Amino acid sequence: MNAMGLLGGLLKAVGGVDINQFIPSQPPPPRRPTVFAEQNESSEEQQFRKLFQQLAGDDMEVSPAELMNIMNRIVSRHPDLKTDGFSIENCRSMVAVMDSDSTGKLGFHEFKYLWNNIKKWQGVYKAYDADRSGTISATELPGAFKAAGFPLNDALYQMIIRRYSDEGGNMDFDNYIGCLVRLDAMCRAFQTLDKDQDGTIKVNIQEWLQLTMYS
Amino acid sequence: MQLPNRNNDFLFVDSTFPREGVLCGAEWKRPQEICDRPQFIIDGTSRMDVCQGKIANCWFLSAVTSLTLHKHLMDKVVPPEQGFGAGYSGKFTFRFWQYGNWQEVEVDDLLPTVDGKLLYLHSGERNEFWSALLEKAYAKLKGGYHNLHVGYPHEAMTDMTGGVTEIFHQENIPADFVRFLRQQLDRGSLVNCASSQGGFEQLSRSGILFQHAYAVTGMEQVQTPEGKVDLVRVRNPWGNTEWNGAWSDDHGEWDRISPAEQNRLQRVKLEDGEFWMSVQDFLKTFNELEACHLASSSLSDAGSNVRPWTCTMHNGRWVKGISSGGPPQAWGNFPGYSQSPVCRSYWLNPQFRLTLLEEDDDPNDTEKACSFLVSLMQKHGRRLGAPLSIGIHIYQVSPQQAYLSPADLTSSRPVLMVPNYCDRQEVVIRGQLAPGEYIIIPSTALPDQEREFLLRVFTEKGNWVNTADKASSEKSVQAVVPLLSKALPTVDAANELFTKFASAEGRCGAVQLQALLREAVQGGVLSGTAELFSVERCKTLVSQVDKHGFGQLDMEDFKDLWEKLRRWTDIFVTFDKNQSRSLDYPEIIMALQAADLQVDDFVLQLIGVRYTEPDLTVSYPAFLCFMLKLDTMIRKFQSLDQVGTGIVSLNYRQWLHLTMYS
Repeated sequence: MNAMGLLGGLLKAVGGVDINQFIPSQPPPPRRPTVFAEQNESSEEQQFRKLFQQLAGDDMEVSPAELMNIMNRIVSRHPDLKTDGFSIENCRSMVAVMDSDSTGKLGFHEFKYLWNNIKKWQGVYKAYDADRSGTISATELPGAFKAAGFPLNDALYQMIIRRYSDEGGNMDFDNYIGCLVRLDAMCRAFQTLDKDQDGTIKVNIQEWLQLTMYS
Repeated sequence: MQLPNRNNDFLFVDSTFPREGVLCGAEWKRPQEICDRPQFIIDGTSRMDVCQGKIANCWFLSAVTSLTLHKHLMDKVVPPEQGFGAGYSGKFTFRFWQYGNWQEVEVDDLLPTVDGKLLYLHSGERNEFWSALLEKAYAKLKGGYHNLHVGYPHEAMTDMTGGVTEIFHQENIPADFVRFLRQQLDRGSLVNCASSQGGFEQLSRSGILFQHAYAVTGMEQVQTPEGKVDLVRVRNPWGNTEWNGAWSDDHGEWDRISPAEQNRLQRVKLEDGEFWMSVQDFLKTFNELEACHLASSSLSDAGSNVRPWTCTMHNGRWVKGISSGGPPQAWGNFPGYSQSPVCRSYWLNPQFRLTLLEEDDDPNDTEKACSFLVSLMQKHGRRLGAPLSIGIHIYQVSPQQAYLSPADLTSSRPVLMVPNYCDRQEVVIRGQLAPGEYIIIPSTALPDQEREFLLRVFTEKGNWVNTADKASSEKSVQAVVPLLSKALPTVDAANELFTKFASAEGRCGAVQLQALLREAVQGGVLSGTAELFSVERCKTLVSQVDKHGFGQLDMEDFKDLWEKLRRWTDIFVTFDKNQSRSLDYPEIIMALQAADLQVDDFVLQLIGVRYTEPDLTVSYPAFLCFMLKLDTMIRKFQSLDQVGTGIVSLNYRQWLHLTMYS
């Protein structure tokens, strides 16, 4: 049994997953119109804004199709990331879970948050692809997800592999990013809903459908 | 304009304050650098503390002035327990109402000055600073001092009270003024009046100042030898300078009524700024009236005999192609309402159901009627550029009508509407209608305009407003529309397909399901859609019905899935009237009704945003995906909510299982 398996077993033994172990990156700030946001920006932010303006086009928002083009341009420059390409369906799902104002597109701050996460998780992907296969295998996955900030239990890892990996249990780069974006969003949603931080959330049918249908 | 180095005084510096647009050469100074012994409030907040600076924001000042007449509301916006004494840190906090919530705004006390004098709003007292700091906080809320240049008083009034302000000029002051004013005062509305004649604060012979705001504080009827007379009590916020005509403090009229009556009216012969006058004199003297209506929550400190409005708030959004349906009629000069063509997309605008049961509690009123106010406010108008032109229409409906369909609208005329679309942040409509059911439709002057809005309805207690959700209607379209069928093979035929594609263990994963579905639609009316079944979509389908979490379907799972897919495919084909193999957004609404899947308008909008193509149509595979997902999610919720409380509790692991495996 490897170290991760042991840790996973321990977590399970103490009664499941502890939400407090999930450390989200700084959540995206509330959306503001562009004019207002530009007033208090560092030079790094201004550079990123220029990049964003090129990617987002005239409407200053990134649509699922634009996100797909960006992601596929990136992976084409990284032959060590195995992928069959980001599908439009995957990009729609990523946009939906990141889209705090339900416009179907990502504004500057939402996109920046996503971008920083993708950069971080890409590094994790390469580091944990121990056999240099270009994919994350079932045995590599728990380590990678833990390094990405998501220490889950074995049952959840198994469930994720069945849903997001191929039939051989290997997860390629587009599925890996799609899965982590979703996982991150769902963890943040849980923390937001768990106002009294007792580890359980209470939702009504409207909230339930809003959260699950828009993902 | 640069800030001097402020690190040496260890006081709060607000680095987020937008400093653009402040006059060149102005210096930022703290109050103690402007005068000796600065204070936050001296002798309460009063109208004299509001003197305009070099910025055209009299709309804001006029609202602040009105607010100084009502201490309990002022204390909410300007928390009085702040100051320059113990605990002073250079930071001050104010509260503004923004789209339904009170928002705290913190600022530092660095104020723009020229030659040591405040550039903008200042108090009559050189060492009193609440008003200058309030203006700074308001400027921060609005994105900078330069954004305060143009506005309407009612906008600032709303930001500081959460109320809805109605403005009356000579010509639209209600004819039955006595009854109107009594209603406003009974409900705790803030009523201010002014005379627009003469020079600014010029004293007339009757003791009334021109162009000066007074507060209306009471109304009574007195018995005189000639009969009953209606009197209004008015207060000059200065605390002096009173009316000297009939019914003024020392006027002879009072001697003609009994001491008991004088006592009841609390006649006060003091130069305190408050006085009585007759309604006739009031209407002759004041030609401008402003009523700010407050909901019960803002009025907790007010007198116990007020019966405030109940306010219902709904947040909504006009989304292009989904809920931005435009105006009821195509534009043009149509002679009569009924002749002008109805806009086909108008019904897609968000609809709200107004239920009026409780009549006005007015003994003088013999008609059965319910008063209400509707306010439609577009959000973030000042920051997103020009406000859109918006309007409100109200229609009467029967209790059976859940919402107004396109067919309903061709034969309906609004019972009440805002006369013209108006490019203001907020439009308000007042109404009095018989008890019954009504639909309120807020709309933009053009279709496909996008904006968020807040709809507020003020009614008597016991009346209410709900969203009129288009896909949660009780009426079944199935009865009306017979479903076409047999677009997909029968369950028996499908079982053969399953056997063909399933693994040796009798299971079918996403890849096998993809091949199966592609074969199943071949040759039928949906044959062109085979290529649209991606593995991704099939994974979604599998994970919805896969009871065991294997990522594969067994025969039993497959049978369940197939029955549903067949039924929804029939619905799809039925509502795809032009046989484009895709549904328009309005057709999705019909399809959900036919499938008896009930969702509210917000979820419906989310489905529209998430599952439609850029041309706002939904493909056949996407349709199956969201129908199955919706059906599954509703079932999962119901199975978790076994007691039927309408609320489910989930721990972290359950949450991730349910949301990540779908």
